[in-house]
Amino acid sequence: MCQMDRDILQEYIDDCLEDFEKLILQEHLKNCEMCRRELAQLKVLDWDLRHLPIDIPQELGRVRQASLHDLEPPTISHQGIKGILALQRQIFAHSASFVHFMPSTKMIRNAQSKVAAYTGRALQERFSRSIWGKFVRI
Amino acid sequence: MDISRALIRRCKKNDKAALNELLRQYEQYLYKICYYYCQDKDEAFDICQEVYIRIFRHMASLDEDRPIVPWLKRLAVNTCLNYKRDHRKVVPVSLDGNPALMQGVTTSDSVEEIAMSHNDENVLSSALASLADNQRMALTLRYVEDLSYEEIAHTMELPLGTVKSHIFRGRNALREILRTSDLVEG
Repeated sequence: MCQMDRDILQEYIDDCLEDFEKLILQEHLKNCEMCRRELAQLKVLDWDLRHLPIDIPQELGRVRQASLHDLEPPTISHQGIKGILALQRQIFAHSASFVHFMPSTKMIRNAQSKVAAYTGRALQERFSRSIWGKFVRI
Repeated sequence: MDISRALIRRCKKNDKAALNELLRQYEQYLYKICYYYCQDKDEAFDICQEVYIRIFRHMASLDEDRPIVPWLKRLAVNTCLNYKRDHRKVVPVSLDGNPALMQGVTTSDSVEEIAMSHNDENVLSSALASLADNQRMALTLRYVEDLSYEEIAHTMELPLGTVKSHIFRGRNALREILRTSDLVEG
């Protein structure tokens, strides 16, 4: 029974053995019919695998076209500066909407009404134009 | 065979004409890997389409200064391995009213006759398709790309010893299948 490592035959097929390993194997093959037979089988299999046909079908171009057709490029909407500013304002207003639920909102609103009553409409308008006035509606 | 940086830059900007040119240059190369791996034309087409989608998605990560072929190869390898894993299914087949199938599932003698009547290439192709995924991919890279063990290990991101094991076991499994089909002397 041959004690040779079978993997060496495969490495020999793939030309991955060192020169001295090849010499040792070739000496062994002179006296081992089992390894010679197995090596012959591996050589045939190696040749068959290397020459397995791969036919390039004509439809390959159509597959490419279909894939490109399904490809949607990223849409970039050209809103201009006004559109971008309006969008930013909306985002900011939405993100600040929590202010309406803050406990101090009612107090501020009441204070604003009293101030307006004493100082007139001009001051009220000025307050409305401030940052806080944008969140708290009278 | 590598393409120009200008073309890659245009592809990164989602220029469809540039993408078309890129795929036109490499579609046969990618198809060969996919077909050898699955040994089925329709499945190879499906895998190729998934490879193209991955190319579109990952184009931004491609380094223009490095060759594109190893990048494409790795994409194809990963797509093939993931495809088999994601599409593994058992399709129940009814034998009723299907004489061709009935012919194949009777006595062992008729099975041998059918095997012998088949072209040797078909038997090898079927045998290759029946191997484990990693064994089949390692053999694909060895025989389609003519890669060394080290290059296969780098492409599949596996240790060298594991790659050798896949190749050797794959070949041994093929020999055993062909032996039982009487195509190899026992």
